[in-house]
Amino acid sequence: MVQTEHLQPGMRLRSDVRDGSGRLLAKADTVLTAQHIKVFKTWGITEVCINDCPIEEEQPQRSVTPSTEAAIKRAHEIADELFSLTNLQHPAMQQLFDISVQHIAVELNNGKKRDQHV
Amino acid sequence: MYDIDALISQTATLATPPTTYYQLNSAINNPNSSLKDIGDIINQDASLTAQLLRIANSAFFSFPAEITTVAQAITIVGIQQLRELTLACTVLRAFPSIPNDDFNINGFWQHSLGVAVASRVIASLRKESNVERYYVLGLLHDIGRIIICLGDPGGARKLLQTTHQSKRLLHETELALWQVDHGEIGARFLAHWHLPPSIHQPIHHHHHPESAEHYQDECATLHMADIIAHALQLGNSGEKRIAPLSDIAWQRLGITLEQLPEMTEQVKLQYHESIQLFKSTLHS
Repeated sequence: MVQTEHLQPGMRLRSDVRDGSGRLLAKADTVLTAQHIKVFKTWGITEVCINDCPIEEEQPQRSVTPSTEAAIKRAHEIADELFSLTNLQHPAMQQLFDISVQHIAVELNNGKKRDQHV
Repeated sequence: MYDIDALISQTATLATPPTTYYQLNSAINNPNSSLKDIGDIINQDASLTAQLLRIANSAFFSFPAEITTVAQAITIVGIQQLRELTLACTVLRAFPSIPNDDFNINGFWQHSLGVAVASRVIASLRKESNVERYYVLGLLHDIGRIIICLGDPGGARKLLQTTHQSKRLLHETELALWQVDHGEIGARFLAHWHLPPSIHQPIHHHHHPESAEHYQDECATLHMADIIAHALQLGNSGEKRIAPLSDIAWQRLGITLEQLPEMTEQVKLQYHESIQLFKSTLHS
């Protein structure tokens, strides 16, 4: 077991990580990113089970896979329209806007995005 | 003024009331009923039983052994939460498919499931005890939209056209046209179904949480969850743009900006699980 505060990106989980009520936060064999470690801290996970050595050769998977510039540009356009009537001056909405752009860009890149909001 | 009563009685003839939920509720409130009585009520309904067992065995509850009977599910999931899940399952199949090009019922329920999981994630983060209650609130929050589409298809079409032309939000157009929005219509319908105020009041005010007199936490949670589900484009509620965030609701929830990215990741994960669980119920 490794305490959450000592976790490093690139470590690989030996077993599933679940919160107090049993919700799955990350599956076994996940290579940890900084994002995962933040999630564990937020959900009060104090320690997790890790494979012995950090995985050196594999690049940790980023939470946003590198998207093509075109996808990001298109995601921005979609999010601009989506957020056009909201209060973007609110810091929470600004942050949700950034999250939304990243999410839409990833979906566009994965080919999952349906044209549901036309 | 819109004749909501007529709209609701019109729709009530088309939708199936959640009778199993009523029976379960009265059994839970009756001090003389045993766990067996409660189990028997669920067991009468084979498709509900199958659905509840699938949920009890899902990764969300992650019980190490397989749960094969309702009695086990009651022990693991808890009676209160099982009651909320019963309502969720019965409501999802209560409405007929709507033959209307303007309204995609699958997209609608997907959006509702998105708001359901987002509400549950917010409630978990805020350490609420019965998080499934929030899940049900999310699932039901836009039920007024179905009521409008089922009971008044002409009105629903006019609403969409006016909204497109005016570049307004749907609920603003509803208020402009009818002096009532889908939150209130949904709440009135759920009250007609004899669901408790803890369910219909937060739904009534989900677009204007600052005017809620009771259940303000629930209302603020729904309001925020709706915004998150839209930002992640989960399903399709019919609304194409995100409503402004009420700062009163945001302050009440006490969520920090640092928590938002983790919350949205958690919502995405649980959303896909919920869609899988209810796949057979959603119309293809």
